[in-house]
Amino acid sequence: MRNKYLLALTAMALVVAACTDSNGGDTATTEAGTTETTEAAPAAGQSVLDQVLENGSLSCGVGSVPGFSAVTADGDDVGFDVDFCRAVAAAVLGDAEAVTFRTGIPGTERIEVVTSGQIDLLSRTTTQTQSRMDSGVEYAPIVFYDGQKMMGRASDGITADSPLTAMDGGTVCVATGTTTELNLLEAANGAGISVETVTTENRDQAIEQFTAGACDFFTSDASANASFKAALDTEDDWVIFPGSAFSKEPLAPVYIANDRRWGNVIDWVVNALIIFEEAGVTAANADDMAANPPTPGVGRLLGGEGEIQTAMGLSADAFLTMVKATGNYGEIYDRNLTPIGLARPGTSNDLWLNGAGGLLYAPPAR
Amino acid sequence: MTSLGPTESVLDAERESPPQKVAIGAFDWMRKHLFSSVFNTTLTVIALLIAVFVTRGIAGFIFGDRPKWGSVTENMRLYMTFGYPPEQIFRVWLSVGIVFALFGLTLAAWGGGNRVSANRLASSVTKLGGTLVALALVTGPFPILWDDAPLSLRAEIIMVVIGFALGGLAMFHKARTEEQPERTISRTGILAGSVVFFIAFIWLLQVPTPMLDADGVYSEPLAPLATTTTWPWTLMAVIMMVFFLLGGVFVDRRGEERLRSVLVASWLFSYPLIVFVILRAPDIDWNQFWTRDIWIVLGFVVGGGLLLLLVADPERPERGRILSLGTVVLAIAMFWPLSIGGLPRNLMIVTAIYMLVAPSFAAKGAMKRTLANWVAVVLIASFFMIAMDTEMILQISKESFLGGLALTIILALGALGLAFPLAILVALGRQSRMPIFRQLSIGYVELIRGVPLIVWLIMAIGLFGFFVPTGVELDKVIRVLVAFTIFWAAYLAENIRGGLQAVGKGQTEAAEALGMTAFQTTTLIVLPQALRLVIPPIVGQVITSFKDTSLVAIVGVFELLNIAIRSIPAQTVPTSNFTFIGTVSENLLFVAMVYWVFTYTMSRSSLRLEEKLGVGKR
Amino acid sequence: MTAKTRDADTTRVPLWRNVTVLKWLAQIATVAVVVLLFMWLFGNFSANQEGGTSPFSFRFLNEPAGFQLGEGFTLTPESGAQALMVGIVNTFKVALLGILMATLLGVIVGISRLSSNWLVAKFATSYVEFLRNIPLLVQMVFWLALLTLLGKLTADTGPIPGFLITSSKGVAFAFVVPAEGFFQWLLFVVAGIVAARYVKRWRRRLRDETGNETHELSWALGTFVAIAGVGLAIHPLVGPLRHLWGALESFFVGLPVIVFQVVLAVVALLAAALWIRRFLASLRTPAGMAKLTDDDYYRIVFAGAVGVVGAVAVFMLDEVAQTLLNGAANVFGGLESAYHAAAGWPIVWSQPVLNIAGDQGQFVTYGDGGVVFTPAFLGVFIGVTLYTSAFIGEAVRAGILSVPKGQTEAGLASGLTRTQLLRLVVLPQAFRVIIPPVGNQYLNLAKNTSLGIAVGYLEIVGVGQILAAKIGSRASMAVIWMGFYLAMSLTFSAMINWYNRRSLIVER
Repeated sequence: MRNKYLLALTAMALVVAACTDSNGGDTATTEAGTTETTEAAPAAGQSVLDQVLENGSLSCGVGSVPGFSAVTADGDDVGFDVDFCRAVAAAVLGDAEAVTFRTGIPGTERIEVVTSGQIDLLSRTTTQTQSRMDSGVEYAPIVFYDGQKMMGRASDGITADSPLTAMDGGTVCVATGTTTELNLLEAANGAGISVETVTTENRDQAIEQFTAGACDFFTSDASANASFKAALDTEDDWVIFPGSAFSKEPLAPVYIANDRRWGNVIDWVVNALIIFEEAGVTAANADDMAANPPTPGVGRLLGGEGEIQTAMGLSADAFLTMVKATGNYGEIYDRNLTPIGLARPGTSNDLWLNGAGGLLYAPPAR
Repeated sequence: MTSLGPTESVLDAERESPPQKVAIGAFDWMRKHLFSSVFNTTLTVIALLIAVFVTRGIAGFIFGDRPKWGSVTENMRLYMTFGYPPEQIFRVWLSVGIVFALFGLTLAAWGGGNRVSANRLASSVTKLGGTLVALALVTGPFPILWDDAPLSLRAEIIMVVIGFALGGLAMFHKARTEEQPERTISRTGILAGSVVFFIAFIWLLQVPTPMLDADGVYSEPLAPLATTTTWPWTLMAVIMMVFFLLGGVFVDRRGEERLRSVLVASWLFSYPLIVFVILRAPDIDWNQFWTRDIWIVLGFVVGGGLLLLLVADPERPERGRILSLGTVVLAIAMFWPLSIGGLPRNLMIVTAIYMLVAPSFAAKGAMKRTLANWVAVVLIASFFMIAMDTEMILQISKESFLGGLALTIILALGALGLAFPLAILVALGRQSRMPIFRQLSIGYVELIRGVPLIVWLIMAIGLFGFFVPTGVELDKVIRVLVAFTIFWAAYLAENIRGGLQAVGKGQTEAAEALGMTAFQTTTLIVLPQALRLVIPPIVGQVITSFKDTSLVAIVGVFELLNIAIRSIPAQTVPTSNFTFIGTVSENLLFVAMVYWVFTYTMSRSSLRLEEKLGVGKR
Repeated sequence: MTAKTRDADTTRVPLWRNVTVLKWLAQIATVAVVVLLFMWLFGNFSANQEGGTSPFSFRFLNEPAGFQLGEGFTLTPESGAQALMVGIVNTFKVALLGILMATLLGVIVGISRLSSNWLVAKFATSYVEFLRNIPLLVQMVFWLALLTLLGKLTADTGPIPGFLITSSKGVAFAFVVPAEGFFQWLLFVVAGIVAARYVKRWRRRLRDETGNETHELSWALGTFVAIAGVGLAIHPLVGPLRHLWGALESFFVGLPVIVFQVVLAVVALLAAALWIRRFLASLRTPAGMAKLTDDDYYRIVFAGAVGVVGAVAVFMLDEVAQTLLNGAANVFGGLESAYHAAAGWPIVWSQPVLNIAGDQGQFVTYGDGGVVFTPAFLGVFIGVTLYTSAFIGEAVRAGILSVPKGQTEAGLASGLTRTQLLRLVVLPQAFRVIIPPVGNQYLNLAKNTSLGIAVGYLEIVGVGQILAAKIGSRASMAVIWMGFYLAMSLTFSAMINWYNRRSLIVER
C-alpha cells in the first residue's frame, strides 16, 4: 500500500515538474496558450507599430460601401478604403496582402474597437468631428472630402440645382440613429422646411425603400449617393442635389490616440500617396523613379536616403514597396471611385497643385 | 392513386385495361376528397385559387425580368465559405468528403440492409410526376386562362411530358406487380440510382451566368456549371456510394453494432478534426513538438496512468476521492496562483475531469480498459490542443477563417455540442433534491429564457469586453458561440428535464437498492432513458438553433444571411464586373431556400428516427 | 431521505462520509464558485469602467433624447425615458396585434390540416412546413423587401381609395377610432362587461336548477350590447363624474410621497401574506394539513421575500413612487378633461387621409386618419404573425388529435354535423391541451418582435440601440432590456400557469 502512495506522489511531482519546467523554459508558448485570444491592448510603452510587426499582419476595420469597401465573389476585399489598409500593410510589412479585414463593424462601435485595440487601423469612411477627436482616437490626413446630399426623382421636378426647400413636405429614407439623420434634420430646420423621415436599419435598406417609392428622397454622403445612382437600373430618373453639400464630411483613417510612432506611419502613408501623385510616381514607373528621382523629396521617400523612413521604424524602401503594390493616390481613386461615377477633376478631392479647387495637399517630405 | 375497396372486385374483371382503372379511382377519389359537399367544393375552389395565385406569384418573380440571379450564382463561393482562400479550397472539399464518407457509412450501419417497398417508391414517383404537371400547368401559359406566363411554352410542355412519363412509369410498374405487392427494392439500389441521378443532374444543370457585353449591358445567359463545381460534387457522390458499399461489407463481416459504435466516435471526432485541423490548417511547430510537447504529453500519459491506478481502486474509495480532488485543486491552482498556461494547464483540466469521473466506472476487471481510454483521451486531446495552439498556414484576410454556410453549420453544431453537457447539468440541478442547486438552475433557465436571443447576442458582442480582464480579446465568432451555448443550454435543459420527469421513480429506487452510487444511478440508469425520451424535442431544438444562427447577421458576423443582405449588395462595377446593388430579394430567396432544405430534411429525418426508436409507443 | 435514516442508525459516521454533510458542502462550494465568478466578472467590469468610455449610469433617462423616431406615439421624445416608452409601446403594439392575427390564422391552419378536403389539408401542410422551416429574420427582411413591390403612393392610390390604400409607404385603412366622449362611453362598456358576467352566472344557475337550456352566452352578449349600445347615445349623462375625477386628481397631487410609499409597502406585505395564507389553505385537506414539501417551503419563503423586497424597494426608490403618484394624478386629470363631451358619437369611422405637398403636389404621405401601418411595422407584423401562426397551427392540430377518436365517432353517431362536432365536442376538450404551448408561442412572438431592429422597426431594442450609441453605455441599456423582457416573460408565464391550474381544477 505504502509504495502505491509513493507512486502517486511521484506522479504528481512529475506532472508539476513538467508544467513548471515548460513555464520557465519558454514564455512564448504560455502566451500562445490562451488559444483564440490575442493580447490586443498595447502594453505600456509598446507602439501598435511593434505589434503589427510582431504579428506580421495589420488588422484593419472597413465597412461595406460600394466603391469604398466590398467583398468580391472570390472573397477578395476591394475598394478605396481597403486600398489604404493595403498601402499601410505594404509600407510596414512589405506585403499588401498582410491585412486582416474586420468587416461589418457597426457604425456605433467603430471608435470603440480602435480605442480598445481590437483593430490597428480604421479605414471606414469615418467623418472627422469635434467630439470624436476627444474619444481616444486620432485622425490621419483627410483622404476624401465628402458632404451630405439628397437624392430625389426627376419626375418629382427635382433638378441638380434644386434647393433644399424643394423637398418641403416630402419623406426621406435614412438609416436610423446616424449622424446622417441628424444632419438632415438640422439642415431641414435651417431651411425652415418640414420633412418626414422613414428610418431603416441600414443604408442598404434605405436605398431599397427609396427606389421602391417608400420615400421621396434619400440622403447620405455624396459619394455613396453617386455609387448608388450609378448602380440603379433607371439611372436617369435619379437626381442628386443640392448643388453644394449641406454638411462637411472629411473622411480620414482613424488610429488610437497617444501613439505617435504608429500615427506617424499612417500619416505618412497617406502623405506619401499624395506626394507620389503630385510627382507622377506610379506603380509602373516607381522603380525608374527611385533610380532617377524627379525631386530630392520624392527621392527620399522612395528610399534614396532612407534615414527618415528608418527613423520612423520602417524599412528605407517602405514607400517604394507601397506604391508598387497599390499605386499612388490618383491610381487608387481612379481604380475604385471613378468607375462608380465619382468624377475627380474639379472637386475638393483634386490635387491642390492642379489649382482647380482641389484640397488634397501633403506636407513636404524632408 | 389509391385503389378503393368497393370497386376492387369490379376492376378485377377488367385487368387488361389498367389505365381505365386509374381513371375511375382518381375520379372517385376526387369526389370523396374534394367535392363531397357544397362547403367542401367551395373550400377546394378557394384553396385552388390561393395556391395558383401564390405559385404564379413566386414563379413570376423567379422567372421574371427583374431579378438578377447572377448575384446568387456568381457569389456561390462567398455564400458557402466567405473569405476562404480559393487556392486552399481543397480543404473544404476534403471536409465535405469526410462528412459524405461518414454519411455513407451511417446509411449502411443504420438500415443498410433495409428494403424499401417498391409500391411506396412508385407512389412517390407518381406524386413527383403529378407535382411537376401541376406546377407546369399553373406557371406555364394556358390558352384560355392566361397568356403571359412566367414559364415558356416549351418548358411547360417538357415538364408535362416528364411528369406524365414519371406517373405512367410508376403506374406501369404498379400494374405489373399487382400479384406480388410485397416486392421491395434494396437500399443500395435506391442510393445508386439517386447518385447517378444527382451526377447527371449537376452535369446537365444550366444556371444563369452574369455577362456584361461591350456596352456594359447586363445579361444572364444560361450556362452549365463550372467544372470546378461539377467534378468535386461528382467525386463526393461517388465517395458516399463507395463508403456505403464498404460499410455494407463491414456489417456483413463484423455486424452492425461494431460499425455503429465506431461511427458515433468518428462523427464526434470529425468535428474538431475538420474545424481545427483541416479547415484551420494549423502550422504546427514540429521542432517545439519534438523537443517539448511530446514530453509533456508522455508525462501526462504515464503520470496520469499511475494516478489512475490509485484513484480507480474500488477497495479504497476515500483515497481515490481525495486524490481526484487533489487533481482538481491542482488544475485550479494552475490558473491561480501558479498561472501556468498552454498545454500543461489544459491537459491538467482534462486529467482532473477524467479522475473525477473514472472512479464511478472503475471495476476490478475494467482497469485495462480504463487505462487504454485514458491514453486515448490524452493523445487525442493533446493533438487538438497542439493543433489549435498555432498559427494558420492560410493567408486569410477576414476576421475569422470561416464564413457563410460553413460558419452557420459549424456554429450551430459547436454551440449545441457545448450546450448539451451544460444542459444536462442544469436539468439535473433543477430536478435535484438539493435546494441550492435547484434554485441556481431555475434562476439560470428563467433568466436566459426570459430575454430574447438577440439581446444576449448584442451583449456578447458589445459588453463581453467589459467582463474579462483588460487585454483579453476574443474573436467575434467565439463570443457568439459562447452566447449561443449559454442560451441554448437553457432551452435544452428544459427539454431534458421533461425526460427526467418521465423516468419512473422505481428506476432510481431499484438502482439505489442495487447499491449504485448517486452518480452511477444518474449516468447509467436515469439519463440514458431520459435522453431517449426527449429525442423529438431535442431535434426540434436543433432545428430552431440552426435557424437562430441567422441572428448573428445583426451583430455583424458574416454567415449566410449577412452575406446576402450586406456583402453582395455592396458589390459594384469595379469589384466584380457586375453590380448587385438592390438584389436583396433574390439573395433572400436563395438563403431561405438553403435554410429550408436543411431544416426540412432534419425534421423529416427526426420523424423517421422517432418511428425507428418507437418513441412514444412504449 | 436515505441519508437521514443512515444518520439515525449509526451515529458514528465520520464527517467525510456523511452524505448530508457532503451534499451541503458541495452546494456551498458551488455557491462560492458562482459568487467568486460574479465577483471576478464585476471586478473586471468596474476595472474596465474606470478607463473606459462607457459610463454605467441611468442619467440619460432624464436627459433630452436629442433624436427623432420614425414611429410611435410621439416622434420627438423629450427624454431618454420617453424614447424608451415609445419603444415599449411599439413592442406591445406589434406583439398584441401579432398575437391576435397569429391566433386567428393558426386556428384556421390547424383545423385545415385535419380537413377531410385533400387540397385544403395539403395547402395547410405546405403553409406550416414553409413558414416554420425558414428563419424568422430571413422572413422579416424578405417581407420588407416584398413590400417595396407595392407601388408609389399617389393621390388616387387604391385598391379602394379612401378606405384601403396600399403603397410602398405602408398600408392605411379606414377603421373606427375613439372620438370625443370615448372615455365617457368606456364607463358603459366596463359596466356592460360586469353586468354580462352577472347575467351569465344567473343564467347558468338557472340552467343548473331547471335543467333547461338557458342560452347563457346569448344572454350575456345581449346584456353587454344593450348597455354599451345605450351608452353610445346617453354617454353625456356621466359627464358630471368629472368632478369626482378632479377631486381624485387633486388628492393624488396633494398626497405626500412618504404616505404613498407606506401604503404601497403595506400593500406589498399584505399581498404576500394573503398569498401565503391562501397557499396554505389550499394545502389543507379534510384530514389535516398536508406535509409541506421543500418546494412548498420555497414558494412560501419566496413569496415572503418578494413582499419584503417590494416593500423595501418602495422606500429605496423615491422616484418610482413619485412617478407612480404623478401617473395616477395624470390619469385622473386626463379623465377629468375627457369627461366634457356634451353629445355626439363616442367612436367614429375614420378614413385615411393623404397629405399632399410639393409645388406640383408630388409628395404624398399618409395623414392623420384611419389606421396607418408603416413598412417597418408591416415587416415585423407579417413576419411574426405568419411564423407564429405555423407553430400555433401545429399546437391546435396536436390538441385536436389528442381528443380520443371515440369522442368524434360518438358525436357523429349522435347526429352532429362536422362543424357542430368541432365546436361542441372536440374544441372544448382540445382547448386544455392547446393553451400551454400556444401561451409559449405568444411569449415567443413577443420576444421575437425584438428582431424588428433588422428592418428598422423601433421597438425597445431598436430605440435602446440608438440611445446606447448616443450615450455610449450599452451596459445600462442591457439592464433595462433584461428588466423589461424578464418582467414580461415572468408575468406571462405566471398567467399561463394560472390558467393551467384553473383548467385542471375544472377538470376535476
